[in-house]
Order: sequence, then structure tokens, then C-alpha cells
Amino acid sequence: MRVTVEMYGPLKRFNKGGQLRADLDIEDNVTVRDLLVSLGMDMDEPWNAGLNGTLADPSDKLSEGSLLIVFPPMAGG
Amino acid sequence: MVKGLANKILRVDLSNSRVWTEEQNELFYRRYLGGAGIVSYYLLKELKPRVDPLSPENILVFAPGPITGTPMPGGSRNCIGAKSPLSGGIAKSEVGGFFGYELKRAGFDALVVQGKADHPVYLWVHNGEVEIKDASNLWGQTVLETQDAIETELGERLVRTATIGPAGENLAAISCIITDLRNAAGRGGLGAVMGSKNLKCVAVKGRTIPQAADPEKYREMARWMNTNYMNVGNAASLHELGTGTAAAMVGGNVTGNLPVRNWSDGQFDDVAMITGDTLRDTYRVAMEACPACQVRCKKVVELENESYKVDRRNGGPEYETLAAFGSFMGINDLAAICRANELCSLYSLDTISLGGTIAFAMECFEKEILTREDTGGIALRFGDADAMLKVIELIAHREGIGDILADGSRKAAERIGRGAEELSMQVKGVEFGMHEPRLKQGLGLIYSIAPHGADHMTGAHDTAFTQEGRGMDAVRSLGSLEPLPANDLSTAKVDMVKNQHLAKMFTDSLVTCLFVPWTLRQQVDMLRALTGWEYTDYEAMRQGERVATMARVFNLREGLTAADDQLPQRFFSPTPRGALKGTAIDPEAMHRAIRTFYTLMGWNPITGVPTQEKLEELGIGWVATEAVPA
Repeated sequence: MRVTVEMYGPLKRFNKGGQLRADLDIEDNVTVRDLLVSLGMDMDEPWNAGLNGTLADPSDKLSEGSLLIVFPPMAGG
Repeated sequence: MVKGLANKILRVDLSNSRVWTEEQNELFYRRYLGGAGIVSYYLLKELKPRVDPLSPENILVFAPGPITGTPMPGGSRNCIGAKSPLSGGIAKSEVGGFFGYELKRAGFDALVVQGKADHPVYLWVHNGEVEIKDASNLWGQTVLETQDAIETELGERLVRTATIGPAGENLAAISCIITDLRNAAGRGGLGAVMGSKNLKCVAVKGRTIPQAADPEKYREMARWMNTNYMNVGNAASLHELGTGTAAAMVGGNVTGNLPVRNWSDGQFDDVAMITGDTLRDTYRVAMEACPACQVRCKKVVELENESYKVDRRNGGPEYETLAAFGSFMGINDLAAICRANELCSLYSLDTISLGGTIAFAMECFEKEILTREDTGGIALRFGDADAMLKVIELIAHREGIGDILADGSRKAAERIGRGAEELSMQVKGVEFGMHEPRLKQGLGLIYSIAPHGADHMTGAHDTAFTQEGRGMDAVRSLGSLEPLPANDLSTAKVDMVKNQHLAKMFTDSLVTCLFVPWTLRQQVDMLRALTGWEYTDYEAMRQGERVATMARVFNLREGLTAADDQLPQRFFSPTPRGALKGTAIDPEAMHRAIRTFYTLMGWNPITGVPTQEKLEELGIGWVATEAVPA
């Protein structure tokens, strides 16, 4: 299935081609954590994710057409 | 004489055109330091209790800090303070640019203005001297027009200024003071205090560079930051994009931090249209720096299309402004947001309180508490950028509905009635920073307690401390060793919040920029190198505690009580959608946290009044007065 991944701030370097936004073809039943590990993301680096507009849990599963947004936890403005 | 300081304070009484300098001893500087410390000192020492903030009796203090004016990254800032016409308590606001830097180099650690001129004037402060000059021809002019006119009159270029536009002249309680055309001492209505004194502008120029006690160590610290800033803290992102990055705003929309439609909603679908990243790709033409700073976080925008023209001399919107004029009003038009930001620079309006007040009025209109009859025919609906821009003009000039809104949402709600009070989102009359307290509940605690109202810059942002990483690295040295959930309000969280608050009050006394990633230890080291004092982290935290306590006493003296440490009712209910759907602040937990905060500060746990022992411990027993109820 095809999903879209947006990665912001310093995390962008883990996205396909270092792009902010990339379309990826992945297997069914892949979780947020699985996908980020497969992209080579350092899971010790603090991160948050939104799946289809709402805050995601690492164990949430992606589905066809999902939009996954990954960003560092932000403090101030 | 303290090394690194000017060791002189400039005094001006506009009622009788008297000008003098004051010399304080070393104990004074070690106890109050500068910035917020010196502001608190003069307000408590010299302001008579319970005066009208817009009367000649109010005192307006421009206070750089010890490091201001030195070539240290983050050392350009100054604090401006007075009794607030918005809250009735203390107003203090820090601002960047060149003004404070130049004031210190002109030979002064602070400028204290009292009285009221009998006609509009401006001050010309240059190299140890001051002149009071006629500003009758400048009254009514914008900040930009005033800058040009003053430089022409003085025959000087690069005159650094702190100026008000029409909003300050018209005594709008949400007006601010603009330095160097595009930086705002935003919060608390300081522009109205300046306007009430018939003071249009303070223009400065100075050439004396303060000399450090240990110049080599001081230079080495500056070099270190200039070499390493891209690898420390958040500075690389600030350097590239400034505040309001897509990471912060798109992420904030997902986590629930982004404020939407006067805090009545939890999601803004068009957020990607109003971020700093989008601005970079559209109207941003440059990034600018304050003196001696490599971070260069200040956006400059320029645009000219069929709808809007924005002059690059008026700066560009920060995160607070992008959110206040964007998601908070349901507006997705980035060009209109840039224009609104420019109007605030020209007219001297606080973008946060202005955004909060217009969003309040929009919700009133949506709920038919305000009608077209009230607004002069404007359909003041969420999402309407033209309506926003029209109302900003009306507020700056106090015309029509603008006259009601010019004093902020609390006073507007009192005048409007009909249930408008429930929609006024502020603490102590001061509208919120653009960060959601239902998500960051420790910040909600600080919003409640901060002496200058719902300020986002003076406490902990909980989401930085929920997992190991940079945020935790900063607070471990203050004794908070373990991450805590964002909605936690335990004693451990209150302690974390309190310590961050005190550290920031020290920073506001130094006055260091919060966007240059100095640690507390480094700030202490720079103060040691500058002054030669054996200053310690402990003393820094004590300084923060002293300033926070002085501000508390000032507010109590002016009639504020523990009942004013209260969030609006809306935050105790969940948002209808978005990440915080179903999430609210537990009123009991917040009530307990406030009492715990008082206790940890050595204040009475019920009334929030500092004990006499605490005041004496901090060396400020003199601030206790009969005006403060025990």
C-alpha cells in the first residue's frame, strides 16, 4: 500500500531522499514504529507523530493513503 | 564601581523637565542586577500604591541588563516595565534589537521616566547626555514615520529608538513599545503608559563599550557561542526559519498545542499555509540579527500584490503572531497576517493581546453577542482576514468598536456584557501566549501565577520534559531528574515549573535572550567574567526568586489577590475535536498545584502572600508594607 510521510525539523534527514514529504510503498499492517525503524530513524531521538491528523501511538497501524507526520517535541514558539 | 556596568541610572521627570543621574552602590547591582530586577526595584521603591497606571505618577523603566551592550551573543536585550494599564499589576516585557544595547553604550544601566510632559516630547540620549525635545509634529505619526523624522531632525543615521504609534498615543491598554521599528516590548500595555506621559520616543546613540573584569574569558565565551550555536539547543532551526516552523505549528496542530478560534476549537486544517516554512517560500526576503548574534532569528518580509503591500523595514511575524492572527482567528491568509503584523509595528500594538482580543470579538459575533450594529457593519467572523485588518485600524485609532476593544478582552467584555465575560480568555487581563494549557498543564500553572499575566515566556513548556533529551538536560541541573507527563500537576511538576520560572527571572535580569542557547551555568560564568563577582548558580536562582517575589508583592500592594491566579473556565472543559478532545484541566489538581507553588515559594499557601521571613531571607524586607494584607 502507499502512504505519505512528512518529517519535520532535524528528523527530515530520515525521510526518503531527505525530503520533507515522500510517498512510500509499504507492506500491510505496518505500525508507525515499524515504519520509522525501517527508515533508519534513531528511536532514542525524541519524536512525536500524527497519523491522519491526530496524535499517533507508536503501535498504531498505517493504512492505504495514510498521512504520517513526524516532528520533534517542541517547547516554545 | 562594578566592572562591565555603566554605574549610572538616568532619571527624567517630564512634569518639570528635570534630568539627573543617579549612582547606586555595588550592593544594589548585586541584589537587583538589571532588567526585571531593576524594574521591580523602582516600581516598589518609588511608585505610590494604587495610582492610576495612566496618571503622571506611574513610572516607566527602561532597563538593559549587565551583559547588554557588550559583544556577547544574546546580550542586546532590555526590559521595559511600569504599572500595567491592562492588569493593574506589574508590566514587564523584554525586547531585542539595538535600543537597549545602545542605551547601555550611551552610559546608562537604566532610564527611569516619571511625570507627564505638557506637550508631546521625545528624549534624545547620546553619550551620557539627554535632551527633551519637542515632538508635537510627530504626534499621530506611525513608528516608521517617527523614525525617519527624528533621524532627519537630528541629522544622524542609525539612531536607535523606542517609540509608540497611534495606539500608544490613544492609550490603548493592548499597545506596546516598538524598538528599532520592528521589535516589540509587547506585553502589559506599556505603549499606553508612554502615551500617557506624552512621550513619543526615546532615541539613543552611544559609543562607550562596557569593559569586562576578565576580558579574555568574556571574549572566549562569545567566540564559543558564535562557533557552536548551530549544534546547541534549537538555534539551528531558529537560524534557518525563525520561530513558527512547520515542525512546531503542524506538530502543534497534531498534539493540540496550536490555539484555534479563541481556544474554542482543537484543530486548524489549514495550518501548513501559515508556517515559517511557508513564509520562507513566499514573502520572507531576509533573516536579521540583533547585535553580536549569529542566530539571526528575526524574519523580514516584503510583499506587494493587489491586496497588500508590506514594507520590509517593519519586520516579520514571529510564531506568536502567525498563530494569533492565523489559527487563533481561523485565518489562513499568510499575506494578510504579514500585513496585520506590519500594522502592529506601525501603530505599536501587542500582537498577542490584539490577536486574543479580536478572536474574542469574533466569537462574540459568531454567538450574536455582538452584531453588525455594534461593529459598524463589519461581519466579524472567524476566518475573515479583511475584517481583522479593518478592526486593527479601528482599535489603533479608537474608533467605533475599536474603542471598546482597545483595552483588551477583559475590559471589552465588561462593557459588552450579555455573557461576553465567558469568552474573554486572559489571566489578570493579559491575553494568553499561543500555547495550549490543556496540553501543557505546567504552563497552565505559570499562566495562572505569573505576575505579569498569561505569559508563555516565563515558565516550563511541559512537552519538552516528557522524555529524555535536550529539555531534560536543561532541568536536571535544577534538580528535576525524571521526565513527567505534560498533563502532570504533581509536586514534582510544580517544583520543575517553579525552578524554570526562577531561572527565567534571572535571565530576564541579566537580560539574556532566550533564543540564544546559553545554559544557566554559562550565564553565571559570563556574569562572573563581566563583573569579577564570585557569582554562583545558587545566587542566580536566588536572584530569580527575589524578582518573582518582588513582582508578587507589587501585585498584592496594587490590590490583586490569589483569586486573580485563575485560568478561564474554558480550560476546565475539553476541546470539541483534535488531539485534546476529551482532555481538560482538572480544576482540583490545578487548585492544589497553585497552593503547592505558593508553599514552595515560601508564600502563604492560601493567600499567596510572601512571609516576612522569606522577604528578609531574600534581602528585601523593605518591600513589606501595610498595603499588603497578611
